[in-house]
Parts: sequence; structure tokens; C-alpha cells
Amino acid sequence: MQHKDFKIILQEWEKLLACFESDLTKDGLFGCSFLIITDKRIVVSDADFNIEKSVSLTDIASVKIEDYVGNAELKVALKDGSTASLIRFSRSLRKRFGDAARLIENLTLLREVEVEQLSEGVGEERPRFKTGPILYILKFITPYKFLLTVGILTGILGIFLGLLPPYFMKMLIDDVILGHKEELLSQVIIAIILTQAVSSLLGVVRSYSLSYVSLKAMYDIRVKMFNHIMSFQPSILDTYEAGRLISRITDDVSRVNWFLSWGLEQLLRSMVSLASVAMMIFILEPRLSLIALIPIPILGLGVFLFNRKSTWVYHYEWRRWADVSALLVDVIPGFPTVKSHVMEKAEEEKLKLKLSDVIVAGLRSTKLNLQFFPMLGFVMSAGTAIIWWIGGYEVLGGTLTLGTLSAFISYVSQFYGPIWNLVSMVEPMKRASTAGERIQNIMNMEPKIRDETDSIDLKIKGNIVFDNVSFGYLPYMYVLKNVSFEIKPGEKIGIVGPTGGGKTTIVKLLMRFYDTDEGRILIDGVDIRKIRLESLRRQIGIVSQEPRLFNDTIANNIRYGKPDASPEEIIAAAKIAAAHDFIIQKPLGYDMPCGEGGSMLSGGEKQRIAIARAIISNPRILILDEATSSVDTITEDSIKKALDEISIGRTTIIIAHRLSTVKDADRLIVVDNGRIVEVGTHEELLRKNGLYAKLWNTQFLEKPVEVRA
Amino acid sequence: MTFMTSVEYYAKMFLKVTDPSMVKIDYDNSNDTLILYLNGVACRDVDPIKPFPLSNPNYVIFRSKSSGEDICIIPDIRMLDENSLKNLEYAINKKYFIPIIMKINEITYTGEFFICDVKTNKGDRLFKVRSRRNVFRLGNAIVIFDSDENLYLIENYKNLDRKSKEELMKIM
Repeated sequence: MQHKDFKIILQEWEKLLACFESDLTKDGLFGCSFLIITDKRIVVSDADFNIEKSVSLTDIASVKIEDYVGNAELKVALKDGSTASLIRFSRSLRKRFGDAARLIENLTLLREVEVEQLSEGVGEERPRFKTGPILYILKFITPYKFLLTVGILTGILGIFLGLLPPYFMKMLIDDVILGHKEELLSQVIIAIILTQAVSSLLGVVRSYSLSYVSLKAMYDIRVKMFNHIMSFQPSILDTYEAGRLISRITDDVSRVNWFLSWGLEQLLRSMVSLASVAMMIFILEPRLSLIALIPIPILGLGVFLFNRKSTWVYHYEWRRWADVSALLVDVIPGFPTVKSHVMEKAEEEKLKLKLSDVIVAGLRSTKLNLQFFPMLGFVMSAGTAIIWWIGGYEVLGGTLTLGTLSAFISYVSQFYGPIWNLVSMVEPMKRASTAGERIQNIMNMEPKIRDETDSIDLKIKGNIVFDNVSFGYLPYMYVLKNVSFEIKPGEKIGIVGPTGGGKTTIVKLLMRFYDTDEGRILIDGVDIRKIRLESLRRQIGIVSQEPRLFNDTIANNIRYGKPDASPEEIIAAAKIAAAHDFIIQKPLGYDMPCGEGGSMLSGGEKQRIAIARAIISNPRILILDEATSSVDTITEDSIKKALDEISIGRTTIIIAHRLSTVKDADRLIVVDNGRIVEVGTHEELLRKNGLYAKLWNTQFLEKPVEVRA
Repeated sequence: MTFMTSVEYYAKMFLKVTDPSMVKIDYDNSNDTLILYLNGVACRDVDPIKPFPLSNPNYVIFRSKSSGEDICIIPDIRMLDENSLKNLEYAINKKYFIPIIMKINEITYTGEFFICDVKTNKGDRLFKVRSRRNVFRLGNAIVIFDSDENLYLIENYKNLDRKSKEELMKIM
């Protein structure tokens, strides 16, 4: 943002507070327009700073963002009852203009404005890395520097040992065979065997130490990433899908594995090898060495061209594989749906199409390889042939010995080897670097919700206050708006209302998965932002509509709510949740594995185990979010009876569509469209004949059947 | 004063955890049933259940066969008198037949099943396992369900011999 540009439209009597650049014009074309906020008014201008609209802050009653397909719009409601559209922007800028809306509202309500803070928040958040991705990855191997050094040194030592056999070959030809020094034969052969033996031993040490280092580094990176991701709130899944996070921990870390284990060592080895062999051939035969250098510029050019072309070809191929994976991830868990709709053939066709794309992409990269690598190989062979040609004449002319030529040719092949290695390393290095950047990207993110230094542990009694709470998953697109209510300790509250009304959001805010945009939530008079997250969540038990069980035993899944629970507590929790009877019918009882995601249990069984898990920790606040929606009415009744017992004196919040589940609650809060529309007991709300009565009648009262004569 | 029911309270009040010295167990050969004497009162209609047969195998619940109600819980049956323990173990061993695999001779994969040739504490056995999903690792223990829902247990896979461990890797 360049504030100086806006001076031309500012008046003397006003002070610039912030300006926000949009990516759409008022006519809906891609282009630039500006929303300029001063302490007196809001001005909208085009890219040339021609004022398109000006609204005085004193005229504004409220501000909102309308979300459309592919774009959105910032609007203000004026005090005269009219509405003014201020600026359009693509959905990419919703956060930016959410901040703008917040600033405008703060200004109109004469709240304290932290202009600088808001202005800084505007714009895309880009990761700022202190170090490059390769250096960042290398940090993970520093704890193992001793073994890494062993691996690299044994590799380099191996290179020097590799220089000896051609020299022995020269001795064998020139001195032993042609020079008839028979006594040297055994010594040279023993030297060759010893060299090879030591070389193999060094190879073993090198491979083991480098593998150890890379595996330990992989372990460290994965554990660190996992812990880092766990430090976030579930809202991280709004930004990164679960699959993408898993891919970063598994695939991306595997991609840097090659670099940590072999890439780094190969790079150093190739460079040392290149330098040492170059030195050897120049010592052995300087004139022929110059000829050996001829293919290098051609190889360099070839590598440059190959890299330029290969990047997109390889990326295209990886993406085709990703398409196949995506299809399989989608279809295989949805197997029953495919079968029930008899869509096996259709899915097969889709897979064939994707696999055909993989073949096309694979052939394209093969063709590219064939265009370059045989040619580059030919250039190197031609270099060797030229050396044979010139060297051959010199041997025939007697200016060079046959042994020297043989040794030279052998060194030349060792000279081209590391060059070729360096050439082939460009692609995997690029891959590792990209993966490292993706790892770094995650690791550099900071969780938004975390404990403050003055956060406290609170022994919760159960008083909950929502004080004028507004919240939206996207800025200024509210799911809850000015919600206020109080729940007394030990009270049982039902929250009901139409789907999408904001019921579950209330729970998420109470658990502090998100922070409120406005207003505050108090527990026993303390703002939840001042309560340590662990202390808060340990004392809230929650059962959601689709509980997630882990691939462990039933006992361990129940114990998840209290790791040190005794067998009696596990059984008691299961009995309260009406789960004990079905559990002991299982062959292994409480030791029965639940399967992945609880796949070995029915929906009702999973739900009851989740209830047992929620209550075993003796939570001060119990939340049942559609907890009994997937059990039959008989089971629901038995769970209800148990929960009635356990919820005595415990603040309990029950969210349910099935109104029979909540009708006995002490009070019912009816939420619709992000606002509380009714509060009262079941009877009071029925008498009121409002939204609750309408929902109740829809669910339980039969409509009279009209019979026409 | 507000009264808050807790799981601990429920466990204490309703679970009927019983002192083993108050319990005697006889075996009625003629009816092939256990007789539980609780504080001297005989219950003939009892079913002993191990709720944690792997992780806590000495924990037993006695349940009424007719009402399905739990009669009492013995947290550690080893605290029972010798005769009671003998009678209870007889009934329990019949009810919980989980052979312990001592050695794996061979595991082969047919494309449909894993065929396991093993030596157990109950004798040699050849059984089929449908897939790796039927093999569960619980700490160092491994539970295998065969295709007929029989159970086999490896108490600690680390204690198996080298050949058995290699074979086990095929199915893990």
C-alpha cells in the first residue's frame, strides 16, 4: 500500500487511517480500485484515484460483506435506511475486506481503533523464512554430525582408494607384462585385492551411517511436525485438508530423505571425486586432459536445456499420479455407495481415463529423457574415443606407453562419472528443496489460539456467559451475531433450531477451537481466553454427532478421556453410557479392538463408547452435540436415563434436532440464523407459539388429512 | 448444596466390587455350572466374564444368566481361596479358549487367505486369516482372529524365536 498516492484525494480536515486495494473494478472487471478510510469518511476510488463514492462515517448504521459466487461486496447500511454498495472484490480478498469492515464498524461505534495493527494485517500472509529450505532441512541432521562426518569421510576415502586400481593396472601392463618384472605380479594383485576389500568395508560403514542419520532425521522431522500440527486448533483443517497435512508429514518428508541420506554425500563425493580425478589426469597426461574437457560445455548446455524442459514434464506426471490417488481415496471409502448405485463400470471408466493420462505423461517424460540422455552419453563416449584415437597414435609413435593410456582412459571414465552424477542430481535436489519448503511452510506457522503468559488454571463450577458474542468463520460473514445468554452451574440447557443456525458453533467457541470476533465468553466470571487451554478442555466433556474412535481397544478408547482410569471407572462409564452390556458380549470384551475409526462397531455402539469417554473424566461441563441422533429410540431412552443421573449438578448442554431429546431440559435456547430467537422451558415455548412450537409441531403433530368428497 | 454425580461415585456405589474373602466358588458337576457363594448366600445362575481378558485377565465379573445383571466383581481372582480359584479357572478356561502361539512354523499367502501353521500352548494348529485387518497389535501382544472367528494370542511378539518373527512379518 502506498499511502502517499492517496494524498491527492484527501482533504485537509481528514486523516488517512487505512486503504485497501481491491482486485475488481466497480464494473466487475479485473483491475484495481481502492477503499480509503479516513477518520471522517470512506472513499472509494478507481485506479487513477478518481473518487467513485464517498460516505461520511456519521451516516453509517452498520457494515456487512455480501458473499457471491466468485466475488464479494462490502456494503454499508445508512442511517436513512438505504444501503450503499462500496467496493467489489474477488473471494481471495475476503480476509482483507473483513478487516476493512471491522475497522469501519469500530469507527462508526467510536470504539478504540488500532489502526496500525489492522493495516499491518492487511495483505496476503506469506511465509518469511530466515533460512532457505535446504539449510532448514540440514538443521535436522546436526544432532547426528558425528555419524554424518563418518559417512562422508568414508565416502571420500573410498574415492581416493578408487584412484589406486587404474594406477595398479598401469604397473601391471608397463612393469609386469611389458617390463617382465615377474616379482611384482603377486604384490600388485594383493594390493588390488586389499584395495577392493577396504573399499567394500568403507562402503558398508558409509551406507549404514548415512542411512542411520537419514532415518533419525526423518523421525525427528515427523515428530516435530506432528507436535506442531497438534498445537493448532481444529480450525487448521479449514486451511489445510487432513489429506494435505498427512501428505506433508509422509510424502514431503520422504522426498527430503534422499537428500539427507545420499544427496548431500553424493554432492560432496562427486565434487571431491571430480577434483581428485582431474588432478590425476592432469598429472598423468596434460595434453590428453585438455581433450577430455571438450565434452563438458556440451554436457552443461544439455543439462541446462533438459532442466528447463523437464520441470513441467515431471510436474505434469506427478499431478497425473495425484489424480489417480485422489480418485481412489474418493471411491474406495465410498465403496458401498458405488455398489448401491451400480456405478462400478462408471468408476472403472473414470480410473481408466486417469490411468491413460498417466501413461501419456509417462511416455512424454520417457521421450524427453531419450532426447537428451543418449545424446549426452554419446558426447562422453565420443570424448573417450577421441582420447583413444589421439592416444593410440601416440602409443604407436612411442611417445606414450600403453599402460599410461589405459590408466588415463580409466581415469577419464572416473572423471565423467561424477559429472554425470552432478547432472542427474539436479532433478532430485529440486524435488527435495520444494518438499523442504513445504515442510518449512507448516513449521513456520504459529497457532492463533494459545495460552498467554497470564493464563490460569480454573476449577470450573459451571457458570457460562456468552456476552454479546459475534463470530464468523470468515471475517464479517457472521454465523453468530450478538449472542448473549447465561447458563447457571448445574443447569441442563437444550440448544435447538434449524440446521446451519449456529448451534454447533456455540460449542466450538466454548471449547475455544476458535476465538470470538466480538464479545466474550465467561466461565465462572473468567474470560475463557484467560483460562489455560488444557485446564478448560479437560473440564469440558463433549460427544459429537459423528464421534471418532481410534484404532485401539474399547477400554483404551474410553480411557482416552482419563488415561489413569481404573477398570472400575471404565466399567462405570460404560454402564452409564449404556455400553457395558454390548461390550461384554464381544469376544475380547473391553480389550476388543475398535478397528480403524471404529469400523468394527455399529454407529450406536460407537456413540455410546464416545459418551463413556466424555463422562469418564468427570467433566464440569458436558456437551452432547446430537449425541444420540444415531441410536434407536430404546437405546436413546436408556442413555437419557443414565445421563439424567450423571448430569445432576453438572452444567449440561444438549444440542439436538430431535426435540424429544431436549424437551425435559431446564431451559431451551432456540437459535436461528446466528441469533437467539427464543428462550424458555418446553411448555413456555409451546405457549409462545414461535419457532420452537413450529418445529415441535412439524416433528410431532400429525397434520389433519383433508378428505375431499 | 449442589450434588454432582461422578463416575468414581457411580463405580463406588453401583459396581458391587467384592472382597474375595467374602466369595466361595463351587463347581456343580451334575449341572456343569458354577455356584457362587456371596456372603454365604448361594447363586447358581452365574456366568463368569472376563471384561479385560488380555490386559487384565484376573479381573472377573459374575453375571446372572437369567437377569443379565452383574452380581459382583472380583478385581483379582488370585486372591480367592485355592479351591474357589480352581473351580473358577475350570469354567473360565472353557469359556475363554484363546490358544497362545508359541512358535510360527510358516505363514503362506494364497491370494485370498493367510495360512498360518503354528504351535500353540494347546497343540499344533493350521488356520486361515482373511486379511491383515484381522491381526491386532495391542502393545507387545498380538491378537489374531481366524476366518472362523477363533482367537489366537501372541503374548509378547518380542519373545518369539527369530524364524517365527520373520514369518509374523508376512502378516503384520
